[in-house]
Amino acid sequence: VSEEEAIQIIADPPLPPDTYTLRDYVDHSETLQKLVLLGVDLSKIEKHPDAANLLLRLDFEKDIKQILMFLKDLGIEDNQLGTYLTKNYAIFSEDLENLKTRVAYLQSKNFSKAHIAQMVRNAPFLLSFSVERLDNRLGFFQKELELSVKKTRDLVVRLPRLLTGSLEPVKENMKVYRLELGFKRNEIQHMITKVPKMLTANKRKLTETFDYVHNVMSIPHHLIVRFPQVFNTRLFKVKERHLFLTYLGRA
Amino acid sequence: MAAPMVPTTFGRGTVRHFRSGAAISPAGAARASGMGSRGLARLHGLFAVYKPPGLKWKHVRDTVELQLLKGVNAGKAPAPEQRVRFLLGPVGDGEEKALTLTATSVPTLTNHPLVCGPACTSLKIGVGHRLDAQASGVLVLGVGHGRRLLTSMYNAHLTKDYTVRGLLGKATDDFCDEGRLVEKSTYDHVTREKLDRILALIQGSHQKALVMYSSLDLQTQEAYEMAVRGLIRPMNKSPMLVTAIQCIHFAPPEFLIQVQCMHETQKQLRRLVHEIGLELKTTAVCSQVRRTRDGFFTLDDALLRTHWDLHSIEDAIQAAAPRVAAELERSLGPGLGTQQLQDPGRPWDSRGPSSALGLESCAGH
Repeated sequence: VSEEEAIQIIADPPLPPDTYTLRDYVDHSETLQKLVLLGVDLSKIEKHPDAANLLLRLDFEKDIKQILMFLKDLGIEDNQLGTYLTKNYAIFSEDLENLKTRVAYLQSKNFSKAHIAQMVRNAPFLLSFSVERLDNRLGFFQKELELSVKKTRDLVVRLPRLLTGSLEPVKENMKVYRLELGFKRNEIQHMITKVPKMLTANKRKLTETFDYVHNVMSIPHHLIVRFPQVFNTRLFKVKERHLFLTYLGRA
Repeated sequence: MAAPMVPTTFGRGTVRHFRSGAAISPAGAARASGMGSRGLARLHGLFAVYKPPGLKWKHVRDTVELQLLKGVNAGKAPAPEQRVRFLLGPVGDGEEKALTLTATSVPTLTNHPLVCGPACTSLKIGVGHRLDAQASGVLVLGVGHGRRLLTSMYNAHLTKDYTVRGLLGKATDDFCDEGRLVEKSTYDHVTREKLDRILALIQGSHQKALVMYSSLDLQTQEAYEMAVRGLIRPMNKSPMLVTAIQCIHFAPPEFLIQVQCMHETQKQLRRLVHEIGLELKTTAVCSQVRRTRDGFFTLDDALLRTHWDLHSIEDAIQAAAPRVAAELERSLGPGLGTQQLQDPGRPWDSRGPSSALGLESCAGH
């Protein structure tokens, strides 16, 4: 073997065939390096082994770049791409055509471009849902809450998690509000338009908070309707403030 | 034999699923010791936290751990590291071009926080004397090497101060006012003097038990002197013993008593309230148990929920460290045989029960 050929033999230690982290591969893969520079948190993705394998095999130029350009067109900024991809790494396995149809569907329902960008940012999995699923969910909310089309749209834009989360807790909470807590239909509608997060609150915490506010602090229903934020706060905060006020004599 | 070239695609590489149980990742340990010396190195010692009622002590410990981790991991990111790689490149001038390996420093992403995860994933925090869910008050926690001091504190057998609020006229199955009601009774005949008499009786009977469990020979002069000053206490396992008890506030049906005890559980304190009610020929339940002092940590040293972050906890540890060292040295002493004859000099001596009561009960036996 001549000297020149000897130098050209690269004798680096071979890459481990399987490992638990992506650290071993990050230096040798341009894809992973570019993703880290974008801000994607690889330590969270490597907890899902299928996702990590997928990312390793993708090529930056061919697949990832197109999807990134598509997301940028939607309106997601560069610095927000990192957090988005950390949550929804599965978007790389979606077809670009499907993504375009879904965005077109949302636009056909009169969601403005800025609204769509905000929804996608707050609920990263929105674009992974098929058109029929999105349609079903929007229809469900319109029927269940009996709100006008414009109000449903505003609600979904404010809390896009409603579309991506499961529907069972929402149904349960609606029953709780109507039967257990005794709010009327128009009262519930008013509260939801003010504080949409009430729909996804924990049932047990909801009942505990309402029990304390209504029975111990003796606040009637119509006052609670005016300020539904009490269902959003933690119980101990309300308790602390109430005990403090009683200590002062409601001063 | 020729080694294969570095593959450009990763047909063979796979990532396995792994539930990591390691507290600090290996790279994290290297980074933490070098970079986190500001944060982690000073985080060893004892500090006290105010546990609010309605929370389990484990939740409090976990919340404090989360807040500390947030503070420790929020330090500034380390500078991008470099790695030495041997790169192939033509070196030479003129017509002679030879390929040689040159060692160059290349930036590497292997230890980037986004690739490795946060430096610290868990901290070792221990809990001193536990408080149950409905009780509130001072809860002592130990971080890192301070956990060793927790065992020393346990072995020092210091007393604890509680304020217990009782309600006359009711009796429930678990002695607390949210339990199932068992009995209701009148309490008009109860006066402050009767209550004080009952409490003095209790203190007297526990004084006798104190002497018995402390395994001291009362015939010696030193033991007599200690008994006169009221410093006898058991230094090994014993049932709940009350060293002092007095009524602070009496407005029927409510009354407030201050108890100094050791080796107790909060349930036994509630049972004590129930028994006081029985002695008074009525019934009583306990509505609030609050620990105001645990050894040498008082309510002033306890941190509120708003102060559960890295800085305040570090300051609290530093403020408490000298007192902790002094107290433990005095209590446990240089020699184990002379434990009982050491003067613990506990802070409650000055504002503990009135010396008249203490002498009276000592003279009682």
